Amino acid sequence: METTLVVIPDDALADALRRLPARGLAGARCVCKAWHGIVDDRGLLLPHLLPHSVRGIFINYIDHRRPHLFARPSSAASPKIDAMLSFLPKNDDRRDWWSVMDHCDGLLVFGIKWHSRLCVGNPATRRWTLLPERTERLAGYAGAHLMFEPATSPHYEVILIPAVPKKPRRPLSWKVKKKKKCLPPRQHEIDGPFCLQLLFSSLDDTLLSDEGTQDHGEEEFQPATESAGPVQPCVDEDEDKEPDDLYRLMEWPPSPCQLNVFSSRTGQWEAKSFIRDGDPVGTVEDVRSDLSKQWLGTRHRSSTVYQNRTLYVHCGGSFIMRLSLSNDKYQVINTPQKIGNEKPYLGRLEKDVCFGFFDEGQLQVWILKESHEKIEWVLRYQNDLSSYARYASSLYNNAETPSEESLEWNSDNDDIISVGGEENRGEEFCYILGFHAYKKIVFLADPFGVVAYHMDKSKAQYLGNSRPNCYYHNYSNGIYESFVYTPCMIGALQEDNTDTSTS
Amino acid sequence: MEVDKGKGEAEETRKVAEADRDTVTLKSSDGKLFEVSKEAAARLSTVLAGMIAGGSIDDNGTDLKQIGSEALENVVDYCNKHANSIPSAALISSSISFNTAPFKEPEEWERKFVDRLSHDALFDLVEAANFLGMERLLDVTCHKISEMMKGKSPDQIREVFNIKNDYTKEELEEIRQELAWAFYDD
Repeated sequence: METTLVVIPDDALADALRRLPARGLAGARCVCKAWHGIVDDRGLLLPHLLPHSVRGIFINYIDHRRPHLFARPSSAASPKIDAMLSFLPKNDDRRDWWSVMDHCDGLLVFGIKWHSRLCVGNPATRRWTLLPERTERLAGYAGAHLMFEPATSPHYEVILIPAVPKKPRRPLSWKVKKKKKCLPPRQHEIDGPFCLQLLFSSLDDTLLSDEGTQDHGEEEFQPATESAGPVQPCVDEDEDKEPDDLYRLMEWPPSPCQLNVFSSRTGQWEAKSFIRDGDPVGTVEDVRSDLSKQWLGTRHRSSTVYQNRTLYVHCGGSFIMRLSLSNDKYQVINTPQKIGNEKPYLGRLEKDVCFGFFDEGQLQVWILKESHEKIEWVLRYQNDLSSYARYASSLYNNAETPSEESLEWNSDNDDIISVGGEENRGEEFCYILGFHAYKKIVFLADPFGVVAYHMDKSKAQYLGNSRPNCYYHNYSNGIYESFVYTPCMIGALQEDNTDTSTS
Repeated sequence: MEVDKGKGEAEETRKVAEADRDTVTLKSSDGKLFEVSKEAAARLSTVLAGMIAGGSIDDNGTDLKQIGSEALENVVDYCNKHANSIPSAALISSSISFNTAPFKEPEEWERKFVDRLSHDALFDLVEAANFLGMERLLDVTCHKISEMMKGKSPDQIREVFNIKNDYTKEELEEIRQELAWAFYDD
């Protein structure tokens, strides 16, 4: 049948298409090549694909085998999120321990299979990529962090941030044999041009003897637990003593600092050298002693911000590394205050890099101001929130435990509480769970009741209970890392899992 | 165009009085004449506003060679109806930027206005509105067109818009795969 094709001016057609929901636009691309061109060339899908809302908070729990999403009610929101992350590669071992290592604009990097492998996944598109295996153990790293800017490219990078070298443990006799075998060549190499990767790999081996050890997964979560005590001289052999002396006096972070980066473009790991601009934090010894004064959880929690080709990393300690991917340099930025018992969080508040503390009911939030040559913290917010904490805690204690699937909040209604200043201090928030990416809101937990606190309006809203049903009760219960999740439909991920059935 | 010889004088007077008239005459590609409120035309069409301000309005009917009589009738109809409806503040300041402007919902009468049109008439009206720079009318017609697309499969859309599928099977599959999430059933 001969048909006269409808001619609608491109601008008008684009305007009509722009009003369609994401699925409609995806369908329109399939109508004909001209429509495909209009949708793609004008980036009509971008507003739908790019992160634009906060959908929940991914939380790693202490001594719990998997992360959970504490989220808005799923029925109301679009796109649909696979909150239980059932799309990730299945593991036959039901006792697999895994966690979220980082989140960046809708992509998550997971440590799976007892943290032996890294996997990047997108809960909104249900796509994932298992990163190639590395020869050295991941446990020597403080974190694996995502660098992803979906507005400019679907490609992402994962960077491994080394942990401060730990003081080698006094090896057990049965392990010494093994160590001896591999030590000599490595020491020669240490004498040569400094190679961080080698240092770490040798360290890892001395620390984590072999596959037989039970707690590899734990090891990664608690990188600094063993560095707390005083330095114990290694009396066994001279060889055992030397490595630690070498580390102790080394400046930290080193320069050049060689970091391993995975790029989704090449599909490979690659070592990248970063030159330090400015002073180090101090020696390894200094950093170790600083870490040893911190609250245990702080040492575990690493948080990052990535924007404009710059990665800001806080892995415990009283400093932040600012890595510039555009010129391969890095700087050390001291935290606004020395960190002791405070619970810090590095995040993004609207467009700014911010750093928050929570200590004895006091919330303090700084914004990082950067100009040419000068980077400084500016105190953005300070308030006593103990009354909110008490209120949240009372709600938490009276609320029933949610089911595993429904860790949901309802912040769409106006159930906002304004609490006056009562005197008695009792409960207090334990953590900053994160900052809202688009509003002046900070999420606080006490430890499981979650509150959204609006910093400008000084109002709080109780969001609900973030404790999963399947989390067994124990004195050590609590939250390690938390990531404010902003869904994104972009990401160059290879594997597609449309199977929605839960494992 | 033809003008009665006897009316020549009257015509002169009319021209002099042109500046005071509150309507303008528009002529379609097929020679039909339409009168439209000058205020509404200037307010709703950037092109007509420019012509009125620049004095290039022809008394005997300003030639709009690109626009057929049916579409022009609808344009004029829309303008006159608009002149009679109370212009809301939001409407006056409305301006389309194809990428960022938030959508303004059509008002009830505007909705009815486009709903009664046949598909062909609607597409012609879009073209006319585009040509005349009538942002508000474009907004209303584009809204209608997007309604026609909503919830339809690519096949159904092709049928409604009379579009030929110029993809091969493989190309289509590839395009679907790029946004696989959009095609899952809930």
